[in-house]
Amino acid sequence: MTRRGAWVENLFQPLTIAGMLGCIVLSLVDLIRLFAPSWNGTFLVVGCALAGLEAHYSYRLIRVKEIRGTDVTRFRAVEIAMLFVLLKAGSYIGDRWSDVLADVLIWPLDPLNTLLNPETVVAFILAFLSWSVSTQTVRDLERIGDPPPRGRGYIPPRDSIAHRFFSGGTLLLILAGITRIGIAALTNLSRPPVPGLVLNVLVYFLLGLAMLGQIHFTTSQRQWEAQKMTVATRLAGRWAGYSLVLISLAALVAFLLPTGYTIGLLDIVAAIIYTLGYVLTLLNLLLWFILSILLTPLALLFGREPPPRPSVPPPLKFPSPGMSTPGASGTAPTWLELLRSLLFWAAAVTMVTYVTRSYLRDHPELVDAFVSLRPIHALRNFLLALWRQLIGLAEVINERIPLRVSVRRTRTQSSDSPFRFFRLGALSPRERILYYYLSILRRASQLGLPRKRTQTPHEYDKALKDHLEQAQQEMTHLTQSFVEARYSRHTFDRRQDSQVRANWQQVKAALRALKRRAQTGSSNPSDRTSTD
Amino acid sequence: MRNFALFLLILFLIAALLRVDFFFTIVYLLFTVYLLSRLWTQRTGTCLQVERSYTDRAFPGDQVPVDVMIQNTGWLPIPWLEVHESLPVELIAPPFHRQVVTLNPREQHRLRYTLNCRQRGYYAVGPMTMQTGDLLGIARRIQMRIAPEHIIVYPQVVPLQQLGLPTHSPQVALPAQSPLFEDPARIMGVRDYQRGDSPRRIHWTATASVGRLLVKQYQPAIARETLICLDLDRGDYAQRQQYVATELAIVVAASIARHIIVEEGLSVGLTTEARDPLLDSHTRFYLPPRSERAHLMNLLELLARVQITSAGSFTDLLRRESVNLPWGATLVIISGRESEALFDTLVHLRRTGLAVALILIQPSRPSTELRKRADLLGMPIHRLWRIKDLEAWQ
Repeated sequence: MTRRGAWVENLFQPLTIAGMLGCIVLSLVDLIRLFAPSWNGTFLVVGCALAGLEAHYSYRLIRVKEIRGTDVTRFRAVEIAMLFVLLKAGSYIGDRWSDVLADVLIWPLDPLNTLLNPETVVAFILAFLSWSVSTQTVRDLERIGDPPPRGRGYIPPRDSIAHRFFSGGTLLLILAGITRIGIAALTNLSRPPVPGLVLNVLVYFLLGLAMLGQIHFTTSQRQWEAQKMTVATRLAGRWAGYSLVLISLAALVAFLLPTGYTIGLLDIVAAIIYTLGYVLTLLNLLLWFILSILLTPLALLFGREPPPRPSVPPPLKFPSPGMSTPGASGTAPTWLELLRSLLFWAAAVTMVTYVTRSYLRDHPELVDAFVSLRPIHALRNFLLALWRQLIGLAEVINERIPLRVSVRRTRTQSSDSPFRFFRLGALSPRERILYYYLSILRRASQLGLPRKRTQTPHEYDKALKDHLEQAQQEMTHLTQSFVEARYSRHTFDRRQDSQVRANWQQVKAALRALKRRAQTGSSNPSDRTSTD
Repeated sequence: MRNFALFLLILFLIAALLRVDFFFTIVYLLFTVYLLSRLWTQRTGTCLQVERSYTDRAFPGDQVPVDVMIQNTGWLPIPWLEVHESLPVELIAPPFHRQVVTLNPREQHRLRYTLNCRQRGYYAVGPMTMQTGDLLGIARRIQMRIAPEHIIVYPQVVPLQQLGLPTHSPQVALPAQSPLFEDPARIMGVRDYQRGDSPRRIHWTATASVGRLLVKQYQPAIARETLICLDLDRGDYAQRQQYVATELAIVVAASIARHIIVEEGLSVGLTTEARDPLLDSHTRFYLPPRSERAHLMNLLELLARVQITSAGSFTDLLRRESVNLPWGATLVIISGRESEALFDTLVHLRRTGLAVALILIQPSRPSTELRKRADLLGMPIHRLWRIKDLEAWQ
């Protein structure tokens, strides 16, 4: 064991445990004093602290001296007897010597009422509890770093000590709180807050945090030793230093944050809503005021009364503090109280939210168990189904609206087409050639001779020529020109354009004749010629 | 300490019920400690920078010092940091380095150790795992992992003065007596055009100045190419000496490659089927013959990392890879077993115009028939049992 380690084990740990026990007992003594104000319980506080200290050393002595079996029982019996004697002696502190002597003389005659009076018994029970807690704590401290035993229900020593610290802290707060507010005011929920520093509570938690840090260090150190890791020599010093800085910083922040509130959380929410409403009303009035100024000349022009000016709203009223702290907020203005309460609740809500979130994140099994509860499961399924429905609905809307819009747009465009102005002369020769051919395709299609998707222009040319007896050559020229215009990079001049145009007109005439023939059922070639 | 948050909530509830102002201060104190511990720990994970510096290539016998620099780049100190560096047991004992360090803001810590490169291989240096946490044990510990880097230890190379390997091509690179191969980069002169000459050979400038067709005459040249075929098939080595024999085979391959490239200045390639630790799978390697020093290093790197495998057939490999070789190239076959199938393949390779040399590593005694067949083939067969045998070639 290093020198620092010895100091920690022989001095820091026992003193810390004794101090923490003393803090709890002090609050208990204060509570008892509410019922018996004249009772001097200082000896009990000191006795319990000393019992804790003694338990620490006696446990380690037994371990060092390797006392075993009945010797341990004998040792413990003597220890407890001595504890009782010291407590009894302590209860006489402050009494006159003659009274003490007289009391001692009565002991053999009436041991139940004198030697084992309620005060002594209660004090002994408390001291024994302190002794027991201290013994368990030191046992846990000794266990740190030991391999866990087989079997279930093992609690690591660090968790065990932490659990004891948490339980002690909760008990201490309850005791100290009841002592501060008094038992009669416990049920009064509208009582004013209690200001002031509670020193023993502060000491308890500061010592507890220091103890947690030290235990964490010891645990880690023993793990590192077991793994034969090289540990930096300055680690212990830095650990202590950083822990001190961390706790000091936290204490500074804690003392700066607002602790009291005079307005409840619901009142704060109501105040926020009210303020927002007030601001909106002001804006509304401002708007009306500007409008009335603008309308006044018009009203005067037409010989009417100018519109009435809006009246100024009443000043903003903050909710009045329901429970004012005497002294602290008695003279403070209302808005300051509101601000203070607002800050307090903001800090509190943030803290509770963060802690709850962290706790649930560290305990996912709790969330799983909660979700797997039958009503929660059903509710979750219902909400999920609802959500899916909503998502589906949104998707349908998302799909249908653009579709409708595009359909409407198409209709609008198609309705525009009869009036669309198309000028063939505005196109380039290449575009015109393309147009001639496509126009023939459209016309042939209307006559029941459409081009198949798989047909090339030349294949379609062969197919169409069978129906165009008088414009077969023109159709071939038109197809060739189209292919050239579509797939080559040649430039087309006006002469070529006019040639293709002539072909187009011939083919168009042939198609027209075909149409007529189909309508009349006539096959007279003279008819066809006349139509051309 | 998993219940600290629950404890905080309970304390807050008590404080809110009892309305003692100071209790809120206590709750704030504990909450701030809780919050700071968590934030501090989370922040630590993002403020660590680790850098390893070492030579990533070494030869057997080298000692490679490794310097690992761990730096805290943040403004918050790191109260404690567990560092665990995993190392290959072939290079260092114990095969890990564990330390607990503490780092102030911007402070750096150096972790130094030396790797003893005793054996060829491709080794991972790392990964480094780091763990840190808070001071009170409230927050969860966080772990970080720094990816491993690698070091290549080349196989042992034995200097050879003369290999005595057979070849159809001249020992000296250029020029060659045989006009079968010509180097178009080396013009020896011009001559009159003859019927059948390729138009590509016409020397147009000379033709223009003389007034008749002249063609270029190239210097006949041939470069000896050697391909080392390394057998790393588990089945081709005696089971007892499997490890030693394959390691020796690799040493032989490396030594021959170095000799051909460094001493002779000729090109050499390598082909083998082996397990590749990089891909963790059976792979066929083929490095085409080249004569640069950088190629030698590539070749040694490959030999450093290949490992014995059970898959694949060595004779198939020989047939497949010899297709890429030019006529007259030399095939150095390193194997652990002479077999009927191997000799069949060797005969085939010789018929295709390749020179073949067989090096057998710790071979078992061949049958009389095989020995007769080997004698009939007339190809040089070298048998090696130890590295000293290789040195005897010098």
